[in-house]
Amino acid sequence: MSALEPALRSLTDALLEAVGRQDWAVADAELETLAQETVAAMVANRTEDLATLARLVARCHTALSLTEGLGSEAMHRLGQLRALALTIAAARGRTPPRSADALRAPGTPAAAVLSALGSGPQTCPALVEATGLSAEEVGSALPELRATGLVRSWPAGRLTVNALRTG
Amino acid sequence: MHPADLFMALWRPLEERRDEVRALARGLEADHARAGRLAMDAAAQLQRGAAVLERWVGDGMDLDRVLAAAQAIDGWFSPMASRFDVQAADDPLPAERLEARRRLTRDGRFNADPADGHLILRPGLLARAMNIRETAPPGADPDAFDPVDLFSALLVVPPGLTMEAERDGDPDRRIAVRYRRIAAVSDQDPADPAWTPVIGVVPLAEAEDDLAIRQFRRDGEDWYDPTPRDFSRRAADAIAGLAEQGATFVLFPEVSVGTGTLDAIRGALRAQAVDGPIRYALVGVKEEAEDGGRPHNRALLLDRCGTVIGSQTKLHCWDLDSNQCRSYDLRDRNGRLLDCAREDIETGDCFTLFELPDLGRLAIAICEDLGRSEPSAWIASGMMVDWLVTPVMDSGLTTERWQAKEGGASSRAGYCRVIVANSMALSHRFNRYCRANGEEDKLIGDCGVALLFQPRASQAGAPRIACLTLPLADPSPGYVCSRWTPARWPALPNPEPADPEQEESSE
Repeated sequence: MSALEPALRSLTDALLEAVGRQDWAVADAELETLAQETVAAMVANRTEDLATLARLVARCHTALSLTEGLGSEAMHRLGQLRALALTIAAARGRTPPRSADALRAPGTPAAAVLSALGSGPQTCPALVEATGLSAEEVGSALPELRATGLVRSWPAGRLTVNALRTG
Repeated sequence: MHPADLFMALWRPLEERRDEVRALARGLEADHARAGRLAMDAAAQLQRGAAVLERWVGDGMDLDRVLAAAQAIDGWFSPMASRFDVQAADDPLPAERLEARRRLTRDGRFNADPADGHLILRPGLLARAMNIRETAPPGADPDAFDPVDLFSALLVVPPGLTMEAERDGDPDRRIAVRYRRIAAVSDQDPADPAWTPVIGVVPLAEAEDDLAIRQFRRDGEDWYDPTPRDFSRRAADAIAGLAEQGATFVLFPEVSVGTGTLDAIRGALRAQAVDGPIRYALVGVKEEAEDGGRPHNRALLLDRCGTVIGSQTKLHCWDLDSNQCRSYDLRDRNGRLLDCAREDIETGDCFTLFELPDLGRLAIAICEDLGRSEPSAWIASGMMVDWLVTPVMDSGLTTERWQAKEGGASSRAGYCRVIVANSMALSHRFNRYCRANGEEDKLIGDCGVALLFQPRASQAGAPRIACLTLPLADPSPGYVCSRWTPARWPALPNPEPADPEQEESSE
């Protein structure tokens, strides 16, 4: 559990209470804090905090959307919560790859793939054979190596050929 | 021109000139250097814009260039199909990429013209961290060649599919195919390899008379029509119990739910919506036709608040032969066993792929639909769904029965997770038949109500299977659930005949 969970829970509960008593100034202040915390977690890639934020913002949105007879002011805040939830989901869907140094660390599948590619371009099945890794390990390492820019790939019919990126 | 629209224009000749494309692909697979030169040329043209790439392709007579251009566009889309942020120094077509995102979010497709179908990302959410296509080399079987496999990031969902006729002598049917992206506030992260949802199954019809099977004659033929009792309380209690167990996705079997029970399920979901874990429920319902026609056999997809967000109508009837009528003890009003019985439903004319933010890409094949050639073959060939869910009404599931064979085959071929959800009522009928015929050894004690299949990760691996059961005599608490942890499940035996030499060597 994220260390921030109790504080974030308190924040979202306070937001719901403020909407309930139609205290829009407090509701907007709580929303602003929530937005600031979201951006901070995104920038620092604090994945656990982003997961907690996702859960609590979705909870808050669900609770508000199930409230009977919402007025236009409350609907406005509901929309803001939705936008915030979509932002968090988009951030969680994009993972920054590890650094090139981390991927080259000996003993990792990524390092084994890089080492095997040192002898020339290879397809994924050939890499499985060359490294002794499972297909799943090779298949998991390649997308991150490409994202970091260490490996480039091109299609050859139905196969994908991988090579070390040089220059 | 947007790259997606150029891709659609290039896709047509690749589909139509399949034999030539197969030969070309084989040549490129054997000559990686030539493939690399073509790919580099096409990518360089695309960097200057789709219109430049289109001019490079010319009139389409040079199939090398058609394929290379289409694959260059596929490569341009690949960062969108990956979980990892691509650290590219610069994006050659940033406005086109923004437009692609807009189109997918707004229209559920990258291409502009809906008449062409839906151009979507090939990997579902579960495949964003590891594209399984890369680990699965194309087979040597020449008949198995499919132009779909030339692309790892993009997939064309056709506007329709041709299916076999419902009855012998009838013409083939054409059904519509739809891709529906459900936009919603979400908090799950199915693309995270560490994500392990909990699956709950509620058989609901536990006793024989929980699911009355009415038989009648019409047009000189025998028909059957299953009708569930009202299980409002049972269903609501199961939802509450599964919420306590942490269930993410809850399944109710085929035709297990009528109108009253559906209202109770919706209410129970709504009651747990704020703090509970259940994100979706799939409910097998029987819906009477408003115009007095045949009923519909449907699966309704509900969100965490109990709102119906989608549905799939059964596409094929399950007509019973004499053996099945005997096994399920289906008799006419005079007590005579039926020779055959037709399912009294109006079949559907549309198949829908659902994209769900809290679950991934979902296809629904109701009972008989799992075993028929389409749309199962198309789903498998695309290797693009995360979940294939099959609500059934049958006697107890086992790892040897048809559902396990078909589920295992779908999981193997389509590299997708498969769930079969069953009720228990027909198992009582089956046991009655066994007792009457001295086949006590076949009696069902623990009734299989759910089969969960995890696809193999590589050619060398085997799919994993979990069979969840409830005692037929005392099915409390009336539901089963399991976290999706296939490493703890047994391997599904390979259905192909074992190689005698291998058997000898392994002994």
